[in-house]
Amino acid sequence: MTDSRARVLGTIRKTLNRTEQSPLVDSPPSVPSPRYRTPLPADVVEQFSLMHKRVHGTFEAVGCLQDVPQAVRRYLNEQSIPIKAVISPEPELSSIEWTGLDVESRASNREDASSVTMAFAGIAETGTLVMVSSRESPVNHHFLPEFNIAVLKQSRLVDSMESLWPLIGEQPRAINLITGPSKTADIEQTIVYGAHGPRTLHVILVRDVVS
Amino acid sequence: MQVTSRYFRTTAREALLDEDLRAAMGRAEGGFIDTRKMAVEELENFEEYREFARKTKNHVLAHLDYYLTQFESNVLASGGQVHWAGNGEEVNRIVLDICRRPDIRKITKGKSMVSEESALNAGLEAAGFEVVETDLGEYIIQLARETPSHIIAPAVHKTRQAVTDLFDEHHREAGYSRVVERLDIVNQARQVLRDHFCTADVGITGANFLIADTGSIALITNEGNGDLTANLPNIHVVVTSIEKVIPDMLALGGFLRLLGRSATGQIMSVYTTLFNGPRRIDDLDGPEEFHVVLVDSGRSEILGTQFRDILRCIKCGACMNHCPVYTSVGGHAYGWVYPGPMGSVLTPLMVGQKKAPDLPYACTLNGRCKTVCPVMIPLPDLLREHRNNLVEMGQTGVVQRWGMWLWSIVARKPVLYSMMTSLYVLKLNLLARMVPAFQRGSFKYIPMMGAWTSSRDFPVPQASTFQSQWKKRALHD
Amino acid sequence: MSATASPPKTEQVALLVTCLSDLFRPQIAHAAVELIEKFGYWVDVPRQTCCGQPAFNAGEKDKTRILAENMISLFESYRYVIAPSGSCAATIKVHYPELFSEGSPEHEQCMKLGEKTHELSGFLVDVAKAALEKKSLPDARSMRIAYHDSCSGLRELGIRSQPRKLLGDRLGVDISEMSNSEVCCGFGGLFCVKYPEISTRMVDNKIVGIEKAEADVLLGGDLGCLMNIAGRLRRLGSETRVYHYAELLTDSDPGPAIGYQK
Repeated sequence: MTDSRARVLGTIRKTLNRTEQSPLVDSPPSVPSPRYRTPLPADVVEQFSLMHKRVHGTFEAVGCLQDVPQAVRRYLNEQSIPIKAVISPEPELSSIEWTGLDVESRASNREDASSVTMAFAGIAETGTLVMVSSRESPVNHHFLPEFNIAVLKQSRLVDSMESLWPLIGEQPRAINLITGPSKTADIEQTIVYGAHGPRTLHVILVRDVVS
Repeated sequence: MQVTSRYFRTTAREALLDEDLRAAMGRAEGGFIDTRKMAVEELENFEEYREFARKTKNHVLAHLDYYLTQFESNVLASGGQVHWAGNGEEVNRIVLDICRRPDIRKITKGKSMVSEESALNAGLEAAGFEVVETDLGEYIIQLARETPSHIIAPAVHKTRQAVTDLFDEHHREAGYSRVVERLDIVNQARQVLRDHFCTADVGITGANFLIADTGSIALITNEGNGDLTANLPNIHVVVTSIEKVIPDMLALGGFLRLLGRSATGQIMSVYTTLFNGPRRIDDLDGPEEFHVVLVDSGRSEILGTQFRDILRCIKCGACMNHCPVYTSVGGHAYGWVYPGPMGSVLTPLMVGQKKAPDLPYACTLNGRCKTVCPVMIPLPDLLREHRNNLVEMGQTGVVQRWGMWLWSIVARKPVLYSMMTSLYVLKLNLLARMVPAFQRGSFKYIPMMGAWTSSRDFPVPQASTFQSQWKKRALHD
Repeated sequence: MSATASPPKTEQVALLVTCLSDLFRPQIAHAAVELIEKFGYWVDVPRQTCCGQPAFNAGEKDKTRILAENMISLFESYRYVIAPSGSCAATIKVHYPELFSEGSPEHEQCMKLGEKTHELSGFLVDVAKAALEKKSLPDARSMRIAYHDSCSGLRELGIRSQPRKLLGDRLGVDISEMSNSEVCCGFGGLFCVKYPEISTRMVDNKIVGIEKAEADVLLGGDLGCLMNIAGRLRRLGSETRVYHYAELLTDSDPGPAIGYQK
């Protein structure tokens, strides 16, 4: 298909009145900063939780990582599902004492009802979880199980997407920006949650920032 | 996809008689418009973002070769493969070449309008592959053997009852029961499609944006079907078009603030995913192969015409949601992949004006689409450009051509004009006096004006033209 | 008014009658003259034809250009050019410059003409800063009035608050707003005869809005739209009456509505 490549690029250059590759003479316009009519809460935690709940996510905050298992247990109990989960094979999640919980640290499969993942970051402006794929963070954890619980450290909260990009070094295979549980409006334009991805998305915020 | 745009007039007329369609569209119209309005009003400087998006797209289009090659080399660097397709036939051939291996049988698909252009599904099925659409709306119309009627809500024309019947017909054999409630319908689709996701050999998705400086594919969905399509099979193929490239992640942030709000009134869609090549050596999941098919299909030619602005389109669907013609006749009447205002501009350019002679006229030029377009495409002006071209090529109907000619002769000469208009008013008044039924101020029928009087009364003119009355007043003064 | 007292053209206001008002409802143009004169302007009506809007929208650029040149020479010496129609005013103000290449003398002339061309209510409120006195209509208080925002005026000229202000001042009633006041009525010039069935559906949708607003009277600023809506209302046997907003602002009784006679 190298012929097509030459043809497509050739036509583009011809229509742009050029014979060779265009040099970039000017830089692209800069992105405006958002201004909201009703100002968002100044506190990023409050902002994140507000926006996350607005898209049908649920939220709770705990004091430290060791509090996570209890929160997960409580949450799974509330959902009336077995107290077990597949967790991301990630050092911090693996270091936790998962007493009273049946957890397996591996890639997920379709039998897994719930997953516990570690968010790379959270975007307060939109209540978005940022997941960065790696050996320690398989992607399917965010999509296959019906119930997804994400652990988010307060220190990883950023105000906007613009502040996120510098935190990501080399591009991973996938960056997943997740804003609420899966949904569809394809039947009569009415929202139903749990289309293909998780039906629920629960965020456990770990307050690792000393105020 | 087969082009049936030339039958717009007939299909539109039939669509108007379809009560189910009317109910479905009525529901959709209000929802889309109100939710968009709320989301847009909340972002105070939304207009600033529209301006940013317009400028950014213009900048990219002016340096399209630069950004495409930058994108290409970054995809290659991340281990992906890039294929260039000049037209639809090449798209299908490239994808078939990727799929033709002994162990490949089932292909899942995330929504991709670009793949509809070349009827990729039909091509794959003809070659013996099982193709399963995974976006719920796309899945529904695949079962119904129809085409999308909206670019982001492909089954918007289907009522719940129709979906119930379709599912019953297609799922019964596998032991599923008849589902009526929305949640049950969605759950059944979830179960059926989960089997397909987990057994597919290839996943084909589209893309919303291509990020040049990282070689990333941005894919946006609400259901999560795009991610399951992309992550579970061993091969991920992205079918996308050349105008979707943007400079960098910062620009993406700007576009994301516009797209969700414009499309569905969402501040952010549920899943925005950036894909960079295939699974890394120590990754636990993800595809082994990652292919990007860059489709031209006439876009590079459009770049050199007065229609370049249409290439800014980010396929949000706001123009059709706000188009009173689209919401009256639905998407299928437009006869090709893209309906509504953006479709009426794009279709003649991509399939040829002769195959879509009605589309540029299927618009009242009311301008509502232009005011909601997140990338500020002057849609009514482009439709008028099409009309200009049709006139220049002598492609307008005889009646219009001669009518316009005669009218322009009269309108050029004020004396002749005032004579003709006075005569016309006199004639109508005489007609009104002759027929008693018209004496109440309205005509029920006027010869040669059946198109108006078939559904509307026409007012009997007041006694004489304003200009003749004014002349009398001036003399009197 | 005597001929000798007439100020130079550069001080006069020229009325762009508009074809539809000229032919079918001169009362609108008379109302426009009365309103403009009320604020001390001298109104002239040079013998005119059409601004070329139908040709322009049909894609007949060459024919429009000829008409535009006619209009320029006819109107360019006046102080203001006022039309009781948003779409005719927008043709001159917004679209004439598109007919000629930028930098050409004709383009320059179009720009100048555009600057002094206004839709009637826009002129009265934004330029003449008109504050109309309240008039006593016996049944105004109990009358429910809806307003259809014609597309060209609304989106190309920003006419929305102006007619509402004038009507509020003059009649002392608030508009019963329709949820679809800003949606096209389906007229669209040639569109309504090219695609009559679609056009009819669109006007029916508009009428749903009128009915929901329980309007006794529907007003608007473009006679094309009003003839379309009035014609459909009458055909359906509706009691709602349709007028151009200017007809309700004058000193005299507006008389029978569009499509009705005494």
